[in-house]
Amino acid sequence: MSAPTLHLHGVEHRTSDRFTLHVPSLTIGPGVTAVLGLNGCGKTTLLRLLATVVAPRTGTVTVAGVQASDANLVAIRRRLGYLPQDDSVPRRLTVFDHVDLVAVMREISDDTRRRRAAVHGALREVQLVELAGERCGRLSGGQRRRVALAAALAGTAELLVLDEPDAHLDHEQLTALTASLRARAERATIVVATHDETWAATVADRTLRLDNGRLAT
Amino acid sequence: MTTDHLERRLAANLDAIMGEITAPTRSRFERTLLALRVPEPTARLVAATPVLRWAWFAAVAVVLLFAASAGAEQWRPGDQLAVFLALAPLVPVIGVALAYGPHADRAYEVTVAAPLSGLRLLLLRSLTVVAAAAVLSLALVVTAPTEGWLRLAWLLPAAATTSCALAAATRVGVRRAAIAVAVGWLALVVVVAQVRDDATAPFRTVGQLVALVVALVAAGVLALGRQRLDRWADE
Repeated sequence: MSAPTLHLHGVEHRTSDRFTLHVPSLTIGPGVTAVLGLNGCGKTTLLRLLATVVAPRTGTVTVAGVQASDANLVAIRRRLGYLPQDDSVPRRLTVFDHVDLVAVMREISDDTRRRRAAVHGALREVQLVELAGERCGRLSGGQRRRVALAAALAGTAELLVLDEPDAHLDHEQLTALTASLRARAERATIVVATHDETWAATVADRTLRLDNGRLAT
Repeated sequence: MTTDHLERRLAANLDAIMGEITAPTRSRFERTLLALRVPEPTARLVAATPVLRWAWFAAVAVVLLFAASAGAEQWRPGDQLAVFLALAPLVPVIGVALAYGPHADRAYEVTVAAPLSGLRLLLLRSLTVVAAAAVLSLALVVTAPTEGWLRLAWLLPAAATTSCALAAATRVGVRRAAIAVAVGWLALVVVVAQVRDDATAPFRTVGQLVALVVALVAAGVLALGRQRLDRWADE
């Protein structure tokens, strides 16, 4: 399968009395797209819509021509790797076990050895192989963030939706992440939310800017 | 073959070898499941899901609580058993409600965005809790023979309450479904016991047959609405 193109049409999504995301029309093609904007401008809401975590109150989200609806969610999610903004790493599991558990839920492979290879590859990408056997509860916040990132990167997802993947990364780790996303950009559609305009300019093929729930031109 | 392609293949082969070396030893529970021929991904889902621990604890706590109070003099044996039978079918319902949702599971949003069937995940979690409670209940029967096999009379009602909760969850979400089923079940048990003037009446033959029918009907409703469990996060 090839990298999917995403379309949002007539999307309005209200998350509180004070905030509604308005996206009249948006197309996101293969490669890396960075979503920029101030805190509370709607970056996370947009990414949650793209990752099929929430349904738009009005309008449609389509992935490779398939509309995100109850009947099509599984087909879309089979192509997806998702990093949420919030801490999504349970404390009791080891690093390897958490990434492996998410790999099972993502149905990365029926074959245990292939799945474990994908897990190891993802841990290598985020430079966490040495901590594979460590309990997540004993890691720093930055290391846990990389565990969550590994869970999203494992396998060969054609659609990656990553909410602030650069958060808590040092320069070396950020360079490695940039190389990893650029290598995947040839065969995947990658949407990243970030506050770092410099990094966005480095990693992204195009940028979107949100301002108070609306796309800025 | 290009150098780039060769490097990728080499890295993939290295990952395959290192993945086996790096993977931590499976827990005893997971090894037991594998020995029982449970498919490996399923064993992983059951054994490595941290939130299930709380559901197990709830199951263990309820059963042990009543085991501990079995000798209390202020209880009449029939009443004590009736309370146990009334509450035990709620253990899996409450356990699943505790183990599924953003309030309980840090990885909930990742779970929602994964293709794994929501029905499969919910059933696995429900069955795990029921199995834990069933084993403990069986142990109670063995250690307290005076109460006899009526101590197992909660199993079919538990199947009914769990099926009803899962079927309702396809419409109203897991937590609301669990609360509705819990309230409905307790009201039903109290009414039947009052009408029949027998605290254990809801768990005798007729009650068991009704529970079986309800469980089957609810399972059918669940099967028809299973796609609704693969849905969006509740906001």
